[in-house]
Amino acid sequence: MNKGRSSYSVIIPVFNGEKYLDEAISSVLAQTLKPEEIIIVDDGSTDSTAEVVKKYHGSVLYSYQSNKGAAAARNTGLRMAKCDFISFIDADDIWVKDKNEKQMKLFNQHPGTEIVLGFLMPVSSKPQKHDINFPAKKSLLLTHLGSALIHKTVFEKIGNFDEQLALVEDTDWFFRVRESGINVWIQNEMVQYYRIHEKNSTRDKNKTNFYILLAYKKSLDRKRKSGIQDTL
Amino acid sequence: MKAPTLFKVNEPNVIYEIVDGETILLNLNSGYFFNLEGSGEIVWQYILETGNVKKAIQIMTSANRKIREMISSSVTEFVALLVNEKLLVPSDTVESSHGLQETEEKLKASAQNFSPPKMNKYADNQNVLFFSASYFIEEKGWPESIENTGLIGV
Repeated sequence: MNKGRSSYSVIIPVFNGEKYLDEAISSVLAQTLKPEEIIIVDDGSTDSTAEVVKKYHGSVLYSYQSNKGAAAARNTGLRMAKCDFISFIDADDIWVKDKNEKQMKLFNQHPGTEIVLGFLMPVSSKPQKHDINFPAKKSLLLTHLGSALIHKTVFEKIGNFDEQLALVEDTDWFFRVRESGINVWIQNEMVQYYRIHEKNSTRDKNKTNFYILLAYKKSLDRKRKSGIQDTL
Repeated sequence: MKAPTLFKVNEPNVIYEIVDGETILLNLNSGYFFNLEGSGEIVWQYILETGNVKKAIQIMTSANRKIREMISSSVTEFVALLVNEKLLVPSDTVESSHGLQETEEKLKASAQNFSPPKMNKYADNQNVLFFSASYFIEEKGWPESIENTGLIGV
């Protein structure tokens, strides 16, 4: 069932996210443009993530699966999502309250746009709860899914997340966005607080670098398959 | 001044891996991505093991004297390209006096059935990489150097 032209599904993939999940969900519920549905995909958490979610019973859809990685959790969320627009938020991040309202407006103002991507602001691991005026200074434009609102047709064009990639599945997906010429509208506003903490998945540089190289190799293989030869 | 003959990978700025049998490299500073072809893959492997380009050329030219000039010049040019892209940097020390026996055998075999070493360079994902959170987060957290990236916004 299609829920309509301006409705959006929120997907929150989470693995052992008890510490910050509550704040992430609160920021979703506080959106000035309410989501049609909030899908939480628990990727095999062994902490009290499920207990945190219980607090929101009736407001969120909860799906538990054995641990398969962030890409698989995102894909589960995509399969469940019923709306034309998709917005991801990681379980440790926080949206500003009008993120999705403003991004939806940009979609309406700029026909042909397929992704709206805003800026994010890195914040420390211990901000004051429910206080989004953290001592942050500057925001950044990064290809981070949590800063985007995505038309669902993009996934039909370029596919879902690659479950072979235990990390950097988002980088790989944005490689495909670029390769496919998807129209990305850059929103010159900060839309998300990106939390830097001791468990950010990309802190293991050896592992991250391996998967970055793997994503590049996949990009190279796609080019070969399509017959594109664009070496410098 | 004598040209350097010992080299090492420009770590940590350069990361590399063999994926599906193909050697791929990424310069994290420039954002350029590379793959190696022909005898380039085994020459790269030998440099990883020994750092000794001169010895790689000796092994290869001994294995195929008929085209030793061609082997010598093409491997030298190949290494110059790697250095030019800052994938390799000159080194003062030999990593090891010998490569693995298997690598030396492959080096000889590649000379006997010689395909010039080749490095391909790609820039098309450069900007996506530079805009990726995975690229920025360091083991200690958010890098201070981000102030200089030009990505700072509103």
